[in-house]
Amino acid sequence: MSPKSDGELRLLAPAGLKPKIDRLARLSQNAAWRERGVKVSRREAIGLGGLALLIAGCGGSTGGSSGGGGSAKAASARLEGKPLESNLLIYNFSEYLDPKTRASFHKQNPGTTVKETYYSSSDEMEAKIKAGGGDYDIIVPGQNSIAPLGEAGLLYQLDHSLIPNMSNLQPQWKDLDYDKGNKFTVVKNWGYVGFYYRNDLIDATPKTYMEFLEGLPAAAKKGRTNMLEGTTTIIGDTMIALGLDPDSENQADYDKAVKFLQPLAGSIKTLDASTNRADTVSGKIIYGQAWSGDLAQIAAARKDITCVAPDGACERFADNWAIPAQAPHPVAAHAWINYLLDPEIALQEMKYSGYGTANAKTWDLPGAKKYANNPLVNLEQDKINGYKFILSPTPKVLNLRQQAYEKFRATR
Amino acid sequence: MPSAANRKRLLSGWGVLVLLFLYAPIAVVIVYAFNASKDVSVWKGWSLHWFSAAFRSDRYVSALELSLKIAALNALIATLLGTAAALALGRSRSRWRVPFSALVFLTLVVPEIVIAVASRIFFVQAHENVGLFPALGWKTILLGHVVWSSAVVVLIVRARFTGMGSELEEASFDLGAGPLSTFRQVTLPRLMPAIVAGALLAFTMSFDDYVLSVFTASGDSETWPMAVFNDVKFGVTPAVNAISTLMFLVVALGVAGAAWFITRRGADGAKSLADGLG
Amino acid sequence: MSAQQLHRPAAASAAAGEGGGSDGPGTGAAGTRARRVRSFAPRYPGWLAGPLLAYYLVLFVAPLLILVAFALARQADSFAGNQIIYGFYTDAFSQVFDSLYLNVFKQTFLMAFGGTAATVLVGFPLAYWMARHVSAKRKGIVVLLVIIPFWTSFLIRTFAWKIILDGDGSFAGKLHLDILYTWKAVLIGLVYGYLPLFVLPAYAALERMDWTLVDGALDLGATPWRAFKDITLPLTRPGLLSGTLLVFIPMAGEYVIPEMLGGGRFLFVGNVIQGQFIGASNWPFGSAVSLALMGLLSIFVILYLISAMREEQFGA
Repeated sequence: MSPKSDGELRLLAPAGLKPKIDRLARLSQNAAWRERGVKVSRREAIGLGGLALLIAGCGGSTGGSSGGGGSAKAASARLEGKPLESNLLIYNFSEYLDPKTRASFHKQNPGTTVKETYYSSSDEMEAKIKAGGGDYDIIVPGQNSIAPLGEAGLLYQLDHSLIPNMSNLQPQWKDLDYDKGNKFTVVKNWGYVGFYYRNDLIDATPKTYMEFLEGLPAAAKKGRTNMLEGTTTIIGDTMIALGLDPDSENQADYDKAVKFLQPLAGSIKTLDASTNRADTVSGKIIYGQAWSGDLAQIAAARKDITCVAPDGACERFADNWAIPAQAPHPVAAHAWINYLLDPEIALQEMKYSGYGTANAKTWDLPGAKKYANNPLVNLEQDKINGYKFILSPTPKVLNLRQQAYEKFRATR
Repeated sequence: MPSAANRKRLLSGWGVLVLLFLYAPIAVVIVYAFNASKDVSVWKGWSLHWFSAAFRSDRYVSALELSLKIAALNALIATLLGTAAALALGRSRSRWRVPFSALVFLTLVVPEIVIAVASRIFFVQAHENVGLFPALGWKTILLGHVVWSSAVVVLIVRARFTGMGSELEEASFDLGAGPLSTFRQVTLPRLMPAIVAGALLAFTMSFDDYVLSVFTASGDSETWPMAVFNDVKFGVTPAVNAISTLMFLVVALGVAGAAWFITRRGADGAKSLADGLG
Repeated sequence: MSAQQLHRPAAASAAAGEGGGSDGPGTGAAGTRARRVRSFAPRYPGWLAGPLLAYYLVLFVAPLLILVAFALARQADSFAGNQIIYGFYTDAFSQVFDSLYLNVFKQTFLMAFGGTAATVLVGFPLAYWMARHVSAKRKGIVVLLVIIPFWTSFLIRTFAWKIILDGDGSFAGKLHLDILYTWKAVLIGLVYGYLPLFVLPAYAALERMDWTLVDGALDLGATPWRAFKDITLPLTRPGLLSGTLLVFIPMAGEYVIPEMLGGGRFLFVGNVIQGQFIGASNWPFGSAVSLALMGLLSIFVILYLISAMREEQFGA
């Protein structure tokens, strides 16, 4: 997005500085928005930012997102004590938030109306936020979206003073690798990728993810097998099972994964991440990969299906609450996050979605007992530590993975 | 070669078969709208529950309203722009005909997701730099739809226009009518069928559009296909089936009304309606 | 529209062979009734296309130029800062020629050709029946009947096909048809989704044809097939071609129907584009693939335009 040559501000600078100037413009725009609620054009932003730089007397912003630190602190001072705005727009997966929670938040803060709109994939949400525009206050990015969105300055730096309930989080779900210091995010719920099979039809009893993959050909003869459509669940998880780093930048690692998967391609009858739970419960799928929330629900619905939280290495993920940098209602957004960290509310959400909560106090509540005893929801910390995050830290990783996925799909 | 009567019978049989094929999924949608089970693919008995759920949800109702609004405006604008252009393309002598034709067709050749992403970026930049442009929202969805719909209108109207022959217009001039009244009384009525067909198609495609709409929409504008898609992706609730059933009933009633109206007016009315749509 | 523009004879127009029939030079100015004035081609002024042109320039060409800029750009190496590095890089385009993607293009065009052929095969007899054998009284209703399914969401209808074709379900299951998640299911879905796009233009063309020509030929002893081949087909060609194109072109970019009914088994160009724009955020490569697809499809469009232009010269 090059500066418009409208004749009023021309910058002559070395080409290498362009990314820095763009970042500067964006930071200035964000700062102006947060501090004054003013939408500043890119042209003005470059001017303002340039002025600020001159005054600061140093050249170039510091690398990474700390360059925005100064303005963020000033911004947080501004937010404290401010009343909640009258609207809150949440952008989320569908059926990932209990409508009762929205209603009770509104009851507690009657001046604020809560609306929710939906996206069908994390990628779609990312693409929309990156392409600009949109007026969401809350988004729900997975851990692998934090690098792309955060480094591009698209996420609001959280004001922790507005989120006192953050102390309720279990220590192992705070300060994670993908967001040190919880600068941008707070864990909404975590999960992992497991698998299941019909124990009346399948003779084998796979316990690890690798065993699951190797059992595909035999299972395909008995009925419909399914895996979750997507680059991380197919390529990423296979790499984890093979002992490779799923965020590798080495082409050879991806080729190994593809080579391993290609002979199995014919045994994977469908790649479906949307209706797979319903199809499993209705008996159509007999052997498949699933997210942990779905596993819990499948296990509750059918006794003839064994659901497995894999031994050894597999993928874990964390979906997070985050605020887009240009959110129009940041105070309400912070209040929302704080509200969701309330132990009772977190319990309600766990009941609704089936995913494990990261809230320490919730597990102490009496209502959480049956979830605490559910081996699919409440895993031992050691087991969880053996599961890996997929972080996608650079565009190259995304491309390598995407291409590997396409190679796999093209050979079916 | 079978006899003429047999040919007719064969063709009629095929015609009816294809119509049944067209309506089979609709029948399934209607039946499952009464499905008591939450999971769409499993049948659990009859229930009216989803119809009331549909009415209680203002998310679905506002999505429908938004889609109707956009589709109607889109049909109007696309038809006006497209018909004018078709007239010029059909009979103007301008040199620009060929490149312009190519441009019109280009809009049909671009994959939808591509123009969707490019449009979104364009709208965001345009709004930031030129105040005249609307922010992302229903207006940008509409602007995006018109691009493609008007191309369809041009295609249909122009095919009819060039195939129509100019004898009647010649005759009209011979008889002394001026250009405007010739257009109004001779050309336009003959062209009306194609114009109506184009408008219908533009309305339909806009109402059903997903990809372009998703990318040119803003946070709180959700069209009906977007609402459906989000529900389908993560488990259809039969509420969506219920609404589709109701929509279908409304349209069917409309058609029945038109049919009654036609038979009342007799064969003439039917012929003009048939002309209108052919 | 000024009187000058809807003007009378031009021997030049007769020579150019444009517009409607012209028989010989004409004379006289507009409005004279005394002389017999023949051979003129009613013209419409070029500026009528102005509004649409302006609209396209702003809302179509501009975004497309952005696309071209992307296709020639490069993706950044990190997520910080600008994601797109503008310039003149051909990396994206050269990646399109990788054998993986050439294969995808091949598969896609196979799908599009097959799907279009099937749609025409199913739709043409229907359109013919509607135009020729349905009574004038019922024609309008039948046309509406063809359009109405389009007014229920296409996603819901495709999803309904999943229920119908389900091998364990109450429909295909009872008939022991197990074709869901195979190319046959995808074909059914494609034909179903695109049928009206062909039937309507085909019907429009067949309907306004002068059937007395065919009846006359039959009376004179031609076989029905001859009459069809030599009269019906040539006369309705423009409409049939535009209908075919209206189906073929979007179908080449289709990915939702194959995704839903094919169980994710197929990879078409549409999937690749979607994946690059959304999954990988590799906009340069996604743009390059899109432009490649557009380029290929334009060839067909150009062929159509050539035949349409010729059509206009000789009338129909």
